Amino acid sequence: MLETFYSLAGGFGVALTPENLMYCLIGAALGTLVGVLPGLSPVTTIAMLLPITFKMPAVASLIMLTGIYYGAHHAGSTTAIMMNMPGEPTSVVICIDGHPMARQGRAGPALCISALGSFFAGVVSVGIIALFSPPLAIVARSFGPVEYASMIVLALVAVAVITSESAVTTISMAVLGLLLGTIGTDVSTGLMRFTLGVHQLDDGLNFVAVAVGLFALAQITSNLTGNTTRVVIDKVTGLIPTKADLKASWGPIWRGTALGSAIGVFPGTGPLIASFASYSMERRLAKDPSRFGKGAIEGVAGPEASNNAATFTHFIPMLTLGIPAGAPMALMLAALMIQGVTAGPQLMAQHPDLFWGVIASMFIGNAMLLILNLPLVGIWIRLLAVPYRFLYPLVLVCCCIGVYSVNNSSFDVLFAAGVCVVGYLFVKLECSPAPLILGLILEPMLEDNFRRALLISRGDATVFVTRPISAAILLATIGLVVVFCAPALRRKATHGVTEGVD
Amino acid sequence: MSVDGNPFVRVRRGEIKKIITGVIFAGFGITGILMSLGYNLGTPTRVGPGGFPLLLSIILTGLGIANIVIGTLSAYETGLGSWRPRAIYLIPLSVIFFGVAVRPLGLVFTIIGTTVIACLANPKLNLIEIAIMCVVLAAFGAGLFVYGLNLPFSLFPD
Repeated sequence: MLETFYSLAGGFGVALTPENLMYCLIGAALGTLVGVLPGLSPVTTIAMLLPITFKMPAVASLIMLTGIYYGAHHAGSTTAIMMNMPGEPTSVVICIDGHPMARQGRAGPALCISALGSFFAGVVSVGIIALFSPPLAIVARSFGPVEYASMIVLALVAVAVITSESAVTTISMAVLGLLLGTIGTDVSTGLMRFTLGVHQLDDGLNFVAVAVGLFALAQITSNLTGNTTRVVIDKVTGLIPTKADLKASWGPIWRGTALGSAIGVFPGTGPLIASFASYSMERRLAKDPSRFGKGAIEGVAGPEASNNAATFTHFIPMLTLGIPAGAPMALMLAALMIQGVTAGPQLMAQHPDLFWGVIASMFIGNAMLLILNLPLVGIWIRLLAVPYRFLYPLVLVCCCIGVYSVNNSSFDVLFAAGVCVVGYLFVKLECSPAPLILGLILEPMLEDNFRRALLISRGDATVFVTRPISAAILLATIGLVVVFCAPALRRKATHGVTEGVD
Repeated sequence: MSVDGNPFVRVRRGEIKKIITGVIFAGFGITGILMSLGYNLGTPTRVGPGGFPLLLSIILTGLGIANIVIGTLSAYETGLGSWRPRAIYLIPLSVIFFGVAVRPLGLVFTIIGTTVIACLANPKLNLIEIAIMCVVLAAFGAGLFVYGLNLPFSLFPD
């Protein structure tokens, strides 16, 4: 406990250097920008900026990338309240009561409560990361290859079944990602696998090219083929909420923070599910549930706090186990790996400056976001008027330059164009790309642990079910599939929660 | 039964999206199986380089077939939605142009070409806007990436 406190103090020493403060501000501001603009998601932005971060120190790059992620989730509600359209898919719940508030001329209090709720939830949940990561990492360090392999399977299945109602499709996407991950040099024998003699594939598929193709280029293509119309309410008068507003919001913010923090820890869940859960809880707890949907402040405060709490606790699996809980974390893990930093239970011991520096920067980033979102909210609302047709060429050019500059390779750019076509096909076929990118990045870890587990057990595959911890993890995996697929089978035609690219 | 509330359309069995998805996965799976068999599979104790990909390919083939079966048995037809071809080929084409042109043409002309092709994907952009986008993006790209981040691009053809 005391040790955590000292480590965190050391982290503030890292995060408060002028350089890292600047990267934190860049991350938070960029995050707010993409959070406000519909059609630009944090995953797109992280994919686009991934190559640039290779030229930065590891700490600074992670501080900036995490800032983009939580900044976007913090700001997505602004668009939801003003335009009845989520700036991020995760803030869709805020539309239900936030936009009616805006139409009643109460946009100011709605924005203010959501910013305050986000700030509170952010600070508390970062505190939770700092408190619970060290003991979790100690538990994780006792994991052998058997437990690790099972854990990775659990994470992949969780991401697959929770994010979509069609589990067969999403699990297939995860397996396809794993299979694509085997392309390149086999780590234990040095043999080239599936490279077809193309030497650019010797190191495996270029992760940046795949990420940019799937999450940025395919997204642009699909945005351009869809119809979007926008209605903007650009008048904000009086940000200050009334005393009654504050009193009504306090409970939902607390409950939302607790609920979101708990939900966010699990891979595959994330901010969207957390905000839905909080909304339905507030509605059930309300004395007069009929107010919901007509501008109830509890319907903004609770889900927004829950959304942000989950955003932060979603980092815990990556920071303690090296297993990303969703697509944005997979990209951040890639950023670390290319910097030569191995994420996992040993991260905290080997790179304490990185680990605690990033956590400290999250506290600082939360404070920055409060300023960016409250007094400066007018600037972002004005930015909503920038049409998408001016944005996508910019994103596209940045993506091309980024992908090219990783290896100064034209092959990678052409490869990204190919991935874009495949990615668009996946969008059309309603196959979420998140499990694929997770499979791709986790493949070396899974294969290595799988092969080592079999080596230790002398080829006995039952080791995965006879070791108690591994058996429990696999049982939980099967439980997840049953819980999430059984209702889907019963009511096939209705759509479940679709997290999309988050 | 009706589709989208239209009583005159009769429901066909089979959901085309699921079937296509299944065919793609099974295709990857079968290709994976055939290619994995070309590598040393090893023994259960010492799994060779082909072993793990073979396992994955078999699972993927199974899941693909499951998707085809589910799709065939589904009682509703959702179709593929509309396919507006412009962006579908112009966006990848603009990226391909970048990849091919950046070495011989230098960054400035490459960005201009990429921007023009990308802008054509959106019919709402007019010529003046495209011209402004080109100038702004070329200046931005050169300024940020070449002067700001010192990436090794040549700005113009050598």
